Amino acid sequence: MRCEHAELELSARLDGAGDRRLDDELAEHVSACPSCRAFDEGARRIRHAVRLRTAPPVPDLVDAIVDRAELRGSTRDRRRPVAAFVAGAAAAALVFGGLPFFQHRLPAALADEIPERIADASAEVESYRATFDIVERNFHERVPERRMTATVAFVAPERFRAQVTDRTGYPSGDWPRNDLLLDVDGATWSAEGPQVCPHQTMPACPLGTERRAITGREPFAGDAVLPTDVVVPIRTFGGTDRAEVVGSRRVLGRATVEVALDHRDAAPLFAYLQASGSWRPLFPRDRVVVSLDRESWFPLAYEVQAVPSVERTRWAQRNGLPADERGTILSVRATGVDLRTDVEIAPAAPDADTRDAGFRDGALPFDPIEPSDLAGLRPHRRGTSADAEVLVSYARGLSWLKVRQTRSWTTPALYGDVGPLASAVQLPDGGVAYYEPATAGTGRRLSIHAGGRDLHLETNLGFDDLVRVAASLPIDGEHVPDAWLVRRWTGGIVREQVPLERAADAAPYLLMPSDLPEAYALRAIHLVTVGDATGLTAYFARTAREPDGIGLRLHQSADTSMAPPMDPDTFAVDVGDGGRYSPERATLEWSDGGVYRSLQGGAFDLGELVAIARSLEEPP
Amino acid sequence: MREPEPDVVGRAQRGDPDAFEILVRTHLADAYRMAFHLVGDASTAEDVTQDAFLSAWRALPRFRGDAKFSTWLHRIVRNTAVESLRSAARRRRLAALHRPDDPVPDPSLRTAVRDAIDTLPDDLRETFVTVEVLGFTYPEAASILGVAIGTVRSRMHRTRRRLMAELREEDTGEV
Repeated sequence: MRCEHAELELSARLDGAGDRRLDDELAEHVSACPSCRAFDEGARRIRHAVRLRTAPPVPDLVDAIVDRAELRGSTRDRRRPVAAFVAGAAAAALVFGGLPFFQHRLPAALADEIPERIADASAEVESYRATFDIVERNFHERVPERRMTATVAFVAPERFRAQVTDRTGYPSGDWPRNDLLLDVDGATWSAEGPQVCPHQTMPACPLGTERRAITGREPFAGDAVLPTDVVVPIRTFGGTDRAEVVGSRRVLGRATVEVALDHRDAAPLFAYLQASGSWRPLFPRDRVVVSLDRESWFPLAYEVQAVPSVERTRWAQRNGLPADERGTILSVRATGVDLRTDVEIAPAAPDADTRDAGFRDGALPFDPIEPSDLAGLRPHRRGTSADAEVLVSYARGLSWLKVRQTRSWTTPALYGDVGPLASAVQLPDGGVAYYEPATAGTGRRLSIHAGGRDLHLETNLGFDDLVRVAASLPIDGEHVPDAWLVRRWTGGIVREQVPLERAADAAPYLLMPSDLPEAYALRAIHLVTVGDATGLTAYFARTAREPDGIGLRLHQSADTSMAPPMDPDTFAVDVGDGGRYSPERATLEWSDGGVYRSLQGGAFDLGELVAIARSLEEPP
Repeated sequence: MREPEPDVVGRAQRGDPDAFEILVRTHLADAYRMAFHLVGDASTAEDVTQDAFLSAWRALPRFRGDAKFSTWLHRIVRNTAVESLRSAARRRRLAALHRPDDPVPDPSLRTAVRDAIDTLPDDLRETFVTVEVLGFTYPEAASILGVAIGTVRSRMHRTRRRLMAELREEDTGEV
């Protein structure tokens, strides 16, 4: 085989049009030909760059086209108010499965309207049962396809059961079957399934099955998950601004709108499956296409599609997956959905492996402060945590809010599950609260410090509703004492939440990005002083949700040389001096003019980090 | 490439405006992307996209379904773009002017790789956009562009070689 022929074949293979009869001949040639290998690598890099850099923003021409086609007539009411639609959707959701109510003339949902519609519809779901067919590809080279069925039942607000039955024809009986059970009933929670076995040991799975169970679970506990996004994906779509409407189709005979987003944003949709058991890994930038029922917003089908990239190829190799995966790698499709009021879920029986999380429903050691505006929610469970805090919760359908409070907070830091990145929010009643966006495991959170009381609110409601509820509490939040923002350690001092001007004065080398990804904004700057040396870490995040709780982290320090790379996969990148990228740590680092700079963001790929790095400039 | 349900195409063929709207929503992004890469500026691409959908609406009753709907539609988009470029060239010749200035592009969108694609000859650029940017298979691209499958195959190879040479000197971070 000659080089030109080999290149032609490599090029065609990249497009899925290779000639399989040439496999051996091509492999033999390429293994001995550095020039053809360089061609292949170059072609893949171009593909990556094209997908990353060439998509123009698409204008919304739908109305213009439909207008020009003279399609608008008096019979078409394309501008029905959203509120009317939502009311219709909610009412429809209640009878789904019972009555044929499909409406043909609903306005097509736009991506930016979907979160609001989902949130409204989710509050109406009191009970639900569905069955799904699941197909998973490339679990193992000897098991290219697994087929499972799942049954999901839910009774609002906190009773949930998901049962997965593995129907795969395995090569032998040694392979662990992915039969799973997840049970949640208020204060009790349990999950059962095979342990995750090292890929290399398959089919033997010496670890066997595992069962984890919790009693004394607090309402809507983040570590004993209630994965209701399978019912209505309120968490998935409540927090993403990266979803795109890509089409429409019928599933189960119902009209759906298809929405595409990255797997990194869609993970809550799969939480009911992945609470236990053994699954193939999914790449964060793989594309998830969800078919949402246009009235109830139930996800009726969703599939994960591999999106080839340089990073993905490396990731696939590390995970023992085919390097050139394409197409659908996981698909879930509803085979039946109904909303009945008689769904029964038997509570899981505690056994020896049960852990007591310490929450006790009932008696309260003091009268809690409660909001007067519940954003439409109703009182739910209330009780005392293992740390003698009082916790009251409210719920309606799939929406929930909980308020935790104490009268004896002495730690010099914000109360509750918010960290040093929480940003101060002015409430409409004049008070101050500290806000953190939702993460993969927690809801949106607010911490309030007020004379003698510290409160922590957590919810899956939207930011505006959370602020409204917080403002209706009969207290005025205060700014935290300055001393809470300074942490001393043996090596130096960290000053949190430093204003940009002060940071620039303290560190004249400070640069800030002029080109941030959409919806990202500066959240906090922390200033580290070690002797005479300074370092600055700036954090950028989206308001609604950051799956890893951080978003984007930019660190800069003078007089710091670059340490040797820690990750063996680190490779050189043309940014500054000695630029390099570690896929494992999702970190791009370089130096310029004696200043060390690094950008870290698990939700970003290399191209995005490079673009941000190149946009750094002196702050205005 | 995502295909509409056959009943949507059928309803649109029978003049159902709701069904046509679904087709527009489903294919707008890809049609616009193709037009944009072929004509090189946003406002002409908008015109081409609109004109192509209107042509499709008028031609729908003649769509026989022996090709995929997306393939058929993109053939119309391609032909509309080519016609638009021809008219622009005619206008320029008549006015004896240089190519009129494009609207100022958003600088954040100008990248080395896009510049390199823009400098490709028309036949290579339209093939590359159809396969690499829009994701059509070789047989589909051949049908859209009106050439043989082997031509698509050799054009893709030539384009990749050319882009690699073009970008070797450039600094795109990864290419």
